[in-house]
Amino acid sequence: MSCGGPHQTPCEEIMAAMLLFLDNEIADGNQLQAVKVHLQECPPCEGVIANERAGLELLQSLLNRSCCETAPEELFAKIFDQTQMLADQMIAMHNSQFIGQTQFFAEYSRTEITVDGVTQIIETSHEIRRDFPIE
Amino acid sequence: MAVALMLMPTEITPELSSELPAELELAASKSLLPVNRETESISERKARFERDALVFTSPLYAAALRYTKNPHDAQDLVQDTFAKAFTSFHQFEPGTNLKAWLYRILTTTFINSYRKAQRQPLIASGELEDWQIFDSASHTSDQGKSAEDEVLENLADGDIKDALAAMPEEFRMAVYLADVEGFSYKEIAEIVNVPTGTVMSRLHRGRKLLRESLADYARERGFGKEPAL
Repeated sequence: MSCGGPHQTPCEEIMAAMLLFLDNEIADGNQLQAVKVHLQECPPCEGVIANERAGLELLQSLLNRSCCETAPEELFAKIFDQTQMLADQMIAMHNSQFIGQTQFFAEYSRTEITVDGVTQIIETSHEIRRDFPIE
Repeated sequence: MAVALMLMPTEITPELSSELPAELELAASKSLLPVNRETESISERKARFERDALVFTSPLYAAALRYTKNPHDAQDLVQDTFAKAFTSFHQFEPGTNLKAWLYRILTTTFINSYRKAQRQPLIASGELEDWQIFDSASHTSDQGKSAEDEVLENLADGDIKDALAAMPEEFRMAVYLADVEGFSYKEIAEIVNVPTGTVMSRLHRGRKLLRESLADYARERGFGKEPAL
């Protein structure tokens, strides 16, 4: 695949980049320009690309023509109901959460037990939570 | 309800509109209004969700039909998608690509639950080779490519859907997301959670398979055997 002329970008590179080019995925401006310049000066590559583009566009038009179902009315209704139900649940959950100021206290106790001359110390602690609602 | 919060995309960039119908374009532009997710009430979030996300119901349903291949599962899949989307909507960054975010949830949900339930058989390895042989043979046929393409236009929508449905799932998804939904390679990579290079090869392979399959249908239907004069 070559018109025989010297190109700055070899034909092989153009062919390798064909998919990216056709899908507008060449983000680098210089690379994109290099492909465009090549296609202007190389009719065989230009022909291959034009052919591929036509095939791709046809495929896309066939797919878009046939795969465009509209969601049934019942689905819209189900989604609306579902969203309402979820929102209600969230609101209920939100309201059940305590709003106000919360303080934590820790209480410790130390108990000394002596049994048969052996002394044991038992330490316990527990945390107290106090909620002060906002007036 | 199990919500896959960890599976949400985080870096899909905004790239909407241009091809959207007017009413969707309006919705898309409204969605760019600033919103404070910290102070937003649940009712406000619900209103924003209904305004911005529900416009994608039909496109998501069409995609779900391609994924599940039946209307009942497709409805369930879309409904589940919107349940997950709404419960994690506060995590969605307003102004970024909502459509891609929803497709990501749709695809992840399908892969994680519906596909397991459906347990569709993978394509036999021999079958793929047959495709490839057919593919290389078609290039050497004396019938020009454009002539072959023309006959495909005569195919019924049902044949096109069937051809797409018969493709291996990963190719079907890649082709559908690129050629119907117009997602970029990067967006598809994020939606189906594979590297961009994988998207490219699936797309390349998938389009090839689909074209050959469509040519097959056209031949079966008797199109293009001789020029219809």
